[in-house]
Amino acid sequence: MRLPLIDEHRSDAGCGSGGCGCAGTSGAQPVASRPGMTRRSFLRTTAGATGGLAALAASLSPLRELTGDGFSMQQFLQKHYKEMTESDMNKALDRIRAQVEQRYELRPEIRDIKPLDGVEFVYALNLSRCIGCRKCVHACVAENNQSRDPEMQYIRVIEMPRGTTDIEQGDHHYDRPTVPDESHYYMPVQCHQCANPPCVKVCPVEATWQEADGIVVVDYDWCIGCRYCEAACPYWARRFNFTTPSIPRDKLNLNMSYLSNRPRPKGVMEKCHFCLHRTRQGRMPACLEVCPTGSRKFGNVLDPDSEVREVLRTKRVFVLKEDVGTLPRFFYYFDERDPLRNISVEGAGS
Amino acid sequence: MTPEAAPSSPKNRGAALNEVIASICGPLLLLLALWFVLGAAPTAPVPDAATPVVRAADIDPAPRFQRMTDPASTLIAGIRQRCNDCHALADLSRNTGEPLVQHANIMLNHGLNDRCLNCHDRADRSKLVGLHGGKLPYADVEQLCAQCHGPIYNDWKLGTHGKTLGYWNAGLGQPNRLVCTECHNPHAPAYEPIRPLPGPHTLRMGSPDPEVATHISEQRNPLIRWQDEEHGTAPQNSEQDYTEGGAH
Repeated sequence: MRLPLIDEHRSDAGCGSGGCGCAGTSGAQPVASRPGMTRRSFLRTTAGATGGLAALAASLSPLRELTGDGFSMQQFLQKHYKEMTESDMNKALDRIRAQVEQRYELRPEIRDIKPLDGVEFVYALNLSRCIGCRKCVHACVAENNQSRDPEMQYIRVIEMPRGTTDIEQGDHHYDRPTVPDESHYYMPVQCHQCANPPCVKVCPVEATWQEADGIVVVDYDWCIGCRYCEAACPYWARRFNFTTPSIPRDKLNLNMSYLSNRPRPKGVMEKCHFCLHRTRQGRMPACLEVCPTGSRKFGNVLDPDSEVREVLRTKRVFVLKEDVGTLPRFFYYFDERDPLRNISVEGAGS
Repeated sequence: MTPEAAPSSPKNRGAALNEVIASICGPLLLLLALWFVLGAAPTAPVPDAATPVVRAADIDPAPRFQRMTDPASTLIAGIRQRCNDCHALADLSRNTGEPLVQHANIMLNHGLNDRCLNCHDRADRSKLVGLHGGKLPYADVEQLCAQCHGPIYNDWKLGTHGKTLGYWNAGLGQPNRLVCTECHNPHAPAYEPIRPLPGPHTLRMGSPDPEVATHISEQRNPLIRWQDEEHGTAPQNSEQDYTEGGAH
């Protein structure tokens, strides 16, 4: 009841005094202060609205990529790997199969291979034999469907000066006409599948974990790409997909598994997984099979007759950065005699 | 007094125009939503062929050499001949270390072991010969090598020397343990130096050493590519050379 009265009072007082500056009728007042729609304001509003819409569209346009090959609503609603039932996993595998078929026009053989009972994988590498040819690096790229441009490499071969194990003195960009070089030795580094993995501890979403056979795996559908694990790894073993991986159609390896070498989207981490799609079916990893020198040894450390067990029993073995306490499953060893050059240890330092 | 009461007032016209603009913006926003839902999403192209930096032959996991089978044979003038086809005719071996007339492709570079008949049997050339005269078939070549390379042979037997293809678990598949002559050329067992395959595609600091760098290293160095392609030539800096950086 009071409000209209106040309004009347104000309007009467305002115009009756003549001091408000609105000399004309009250109906003309909006024209003077708020001129409604003129040609200029129409153009301004239209330009503003168009510009605003364009800016909105431009700012949202990256979202359009979500409807591409990297995303589906089913994937978005998918459960964590450890909570998936068999039918959930089959649905996920069907989706991945369809995505690969759509993108590459090839039908992949994709499965979810579980760890074997009574198996713990261990890798051993003979530094006396490695010649630094980098065949392992590129066999790995071919086997695991890594991006070719930019090329992603899981294995990093470090050229080390003889007489030291200080990695600060090593170089992984060496590009000699021929290897091995007389004054260096070669140390390939890849994921060590640590028993105490720092990368797993830092993952905020549990997208990476250690399986029963010791392999540390990544679920590419669960990874948010924060790269904490890359920072946590003391062995530079993890890689990030800064762009959509580019794999030529004729180079795609169709033998895939969910946790290993299926094509990855942009923005997720990946790393060496001991070729689990091969090794969980009893085969050797690709890096081992291609090694021309037999420097690489792989097997089940729980089997007393395995080659790796024999290496651990009879060779002088060390792990990289033992002091950081990661308990790697990747061991380096030396032979008693240098087979490459017959140089004594004293001769190397001079 | 109120604007609604005056149909021809400018304010009312403004409201009508607002309605017009809203009727344009509404469908535009709807179209935008449709564009997101139905529009063809941009996908990264699938390249047709890989950059031919690494050939398939470079990463072929097959053994380096084929082992000899019994009865032993070799190619003479492009024709496969059994050893005794010729050697049964006469004693054709001088065993002096002079250059061979036949088998000219064989370069014997096996250290002190520089006579053919140290390993090949003089009477029956389809067999190998042990240090004490016993004949060995080519299938047991590792027994021959073991006579001089005992510690390596022991390592090989235990699996810490040599290479196993196939399966790590005999229960799941057959392991293929390579023998000496599948990795080593018995006439020149030491490995020849080979060209390394390309290294990582990551940034390297400093200028590459012209003595060791090849054009491949420059093509693969993102820093040099960035400087060459978009920002003129790479500056010639005299920072410490990357290959010898920190060495010694």
